Amino acid sequence: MEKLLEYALKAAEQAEVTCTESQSDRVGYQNAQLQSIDTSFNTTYRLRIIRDGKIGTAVSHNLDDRRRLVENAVASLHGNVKAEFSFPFTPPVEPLDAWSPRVAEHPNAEKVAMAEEICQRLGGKPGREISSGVGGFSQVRRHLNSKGTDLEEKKSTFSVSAALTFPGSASSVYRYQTRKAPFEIDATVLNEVEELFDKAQTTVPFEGGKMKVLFMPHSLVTLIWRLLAATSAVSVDMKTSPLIGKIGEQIIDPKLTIYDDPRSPLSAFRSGFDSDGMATGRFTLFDKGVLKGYYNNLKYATRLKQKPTATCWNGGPGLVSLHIEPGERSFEELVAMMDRGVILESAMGAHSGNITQGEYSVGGAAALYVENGQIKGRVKDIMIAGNAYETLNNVLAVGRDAQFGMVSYQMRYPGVMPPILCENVNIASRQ
Amino acid sequence: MFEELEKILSGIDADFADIRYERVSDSPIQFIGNELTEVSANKTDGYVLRVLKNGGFSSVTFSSPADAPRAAKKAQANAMLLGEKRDKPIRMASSEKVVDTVIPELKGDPREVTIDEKITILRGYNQTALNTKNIISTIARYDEVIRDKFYMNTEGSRIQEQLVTPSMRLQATAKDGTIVQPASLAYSGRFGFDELRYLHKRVEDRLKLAIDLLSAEPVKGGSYNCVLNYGLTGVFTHEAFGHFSEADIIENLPEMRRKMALGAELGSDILNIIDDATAADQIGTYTYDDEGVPVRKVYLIKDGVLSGRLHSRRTSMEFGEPLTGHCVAADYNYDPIIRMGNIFIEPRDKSFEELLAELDDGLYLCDPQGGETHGENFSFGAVYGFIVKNGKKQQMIRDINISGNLYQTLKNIQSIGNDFRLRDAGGCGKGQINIRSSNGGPSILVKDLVIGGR
Repeated sequence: MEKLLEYALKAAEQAEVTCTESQSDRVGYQNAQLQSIDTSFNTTYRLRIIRDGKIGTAVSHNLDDRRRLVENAVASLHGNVKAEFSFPFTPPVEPLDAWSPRVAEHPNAEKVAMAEEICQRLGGKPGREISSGVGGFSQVRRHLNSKGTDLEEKKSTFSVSAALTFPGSASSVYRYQTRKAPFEIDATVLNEVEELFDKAQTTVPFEGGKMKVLFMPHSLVTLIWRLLAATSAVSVDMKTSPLIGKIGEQIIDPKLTIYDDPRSPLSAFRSGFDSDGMATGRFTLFDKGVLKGYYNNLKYATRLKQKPTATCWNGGPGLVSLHIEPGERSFEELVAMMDRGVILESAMGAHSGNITQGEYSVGGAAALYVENGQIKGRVKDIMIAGNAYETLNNVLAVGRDAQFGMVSYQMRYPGVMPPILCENVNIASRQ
Repeated sequence: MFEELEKILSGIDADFADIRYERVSDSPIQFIGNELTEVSANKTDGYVLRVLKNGGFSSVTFSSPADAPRAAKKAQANAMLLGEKRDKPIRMASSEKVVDTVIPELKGDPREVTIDEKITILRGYNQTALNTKNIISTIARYDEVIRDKFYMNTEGSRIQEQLVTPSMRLQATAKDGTIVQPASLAYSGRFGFDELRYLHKRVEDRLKLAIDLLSAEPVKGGSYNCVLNYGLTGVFTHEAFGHFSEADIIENLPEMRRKMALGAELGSDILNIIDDATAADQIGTYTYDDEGVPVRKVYLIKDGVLSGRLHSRRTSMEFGEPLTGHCVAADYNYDPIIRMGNIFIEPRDKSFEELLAELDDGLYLCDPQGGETHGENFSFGAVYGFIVKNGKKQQMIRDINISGNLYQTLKNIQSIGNDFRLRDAGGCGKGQINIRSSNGGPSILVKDLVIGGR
């Protein structure tokens, strides 16, 4: 890598070289039958150069031909893409306690045994369609630049998933856990999967209208994606965000504090430095509902004259480790607060609609009807619609038990989020 | 290249093995507003090795040839472990040995168009948008993905196939007061670059739509009878039905598999659904899948009855149904999975006006905006639509999302139009993004769709 940096500096004023070397193994059970064991080895080198205020890039899987890689980066300067920033000097970052050698060494035979055990544990009743998965991911990442930055980190993720699928559909009650080292899934998580699944066995008639909706972590993508689209420095720069000029204003309910923190041990994705080579940390998006800032990369921070937020991933601004601060209510307490409403376990179509403006309209994939604090059964053919800003101003309570849930379909890094109970949400149904 | 692949395969002790090596060139250009934000030319490559041994089947992806020995060792160990643990061994349907090279005949090879010319063309479309009143922002993007695939297996097949996919996307945002509406145009050069030079009218039409949407009313939620235009028909066919004609989706869902048995009556006798990845000059067209199987046209529904399914070699054997050649990977980062090529509802004889007259009161919905399926339930958005009264289009509506049940909706297709068209751009996000999966069809009249609204 040093040699590549050296070659690059013969052709440019500034250069940056990054390398990621990854290995992953994944075992998957479907319908309680071992279906797949797959492995991946991947090494990727990325080169960025800055010359005459323009930026050029090139990617390769090896360093066999360093001069060619530099030539490709120089060729891309031809596009005259403005850099607008300089590569930073970042001193060595505090090491993350995010790596265990046991992940790379963990035999696939043990993963098979663990996944099989989950199937057996959930297979107590006939007619259940059970899926489980166990995976290990290890990565070494290095970041060098011409300012003297030289960062390296090792990280590992061991993940376990369990799901019960409603027969005749691919909708399921699904839970996913990760840690830095091999572990067994919590029994409470499996109990929760079973309990919710069992309570959804009967399909009940349902009449739409305005009512309470308990957004579970897997369905929160519906609302959170809208907030992320509007708080990106790109949307601010393009003037499409409805949150322009609103830093310091109360945007959503004071019960909600939302932040990104790739250093948090709770995160599925942990990293001490971002793709710009900036040291990561906690960046608060909303503090008790008040907008605190827009997330950026060095380019947009410079352009918008903002403090860098160290949130550059895959070349652009992005949040990879979103957290919503948990509240105090247990799941049972949240359900007890619902006179009439729906527990939205998972939603369909979060990517449709006018996302930046907060509009959403999603189908209920796995949805349970609640009346007088009691789960009555599963509801089908419903659509939950509204505006994320309105819905997140109608928050009745925030749950205390955070789980992983997707935050957008673009940045596929799960957030750590508790269930959120909202009122006055519109639901359309066939009845 | 094949010599190197043969060397890797020759070191493997297995019942069957195949390897795919790909060189991928990806050359995006992007404007955000007036600013050129990206020009790059990335050339990468990688391998996917699959091994069938003792009833187990496993794949290993790797990016460096130096990793080939450990990839081979790992694939064999994974396959054996899988075989030991399965009650039912995995087997592959037999496929003909193929030795072939497929290089597309292009109308304008994007590799022969200079970066400057591509930037000029893209800047022209972008500038048209930026010069339009009420358009406040744009993202204009050109992508050029060239996959040069080398496939080889232990049965003697050796296939090189190139897939060249230049595409253009323009996203424009219109604003009037507090109302902000996006509209986008996506177009893939189905048979080369030349098509991308002549998109001016399409760009102008799309910009007008963005402006018109500013004064459109949000739809009211409820259950409606609807006419869907070709784009929505295509996404419905792809999302709601197509994914369940992919054998790997239903293979391990016993109840879905029972409901989707060949011979099941799923729709009325006017309904035919076809996947034709052999259709000339379409974005979902190819010659061989990533298992080296020649792709063929498949009638999935014939006269309302389920008559075919899309298969890999593994699922073809599992289901006891013929091979179709639909096992496709996004690129060298992925093991191939079953994908649609060009899926569509076959046109019938009703004109669009006849469909509207038959609808009488309801909604006319146009152009897809995302789509997702969970088993028998699906959801997809429509970019815009119109209220229809007495068979006549009335005011424009927006913020439209549709949800439904596959079986109910197939039965609720009441009439099928004659205005057939496949969509201009492909895309499917089943685990891996396949930019070469297309859909379309004629306008159709569907009863009782649930529409979300505020």
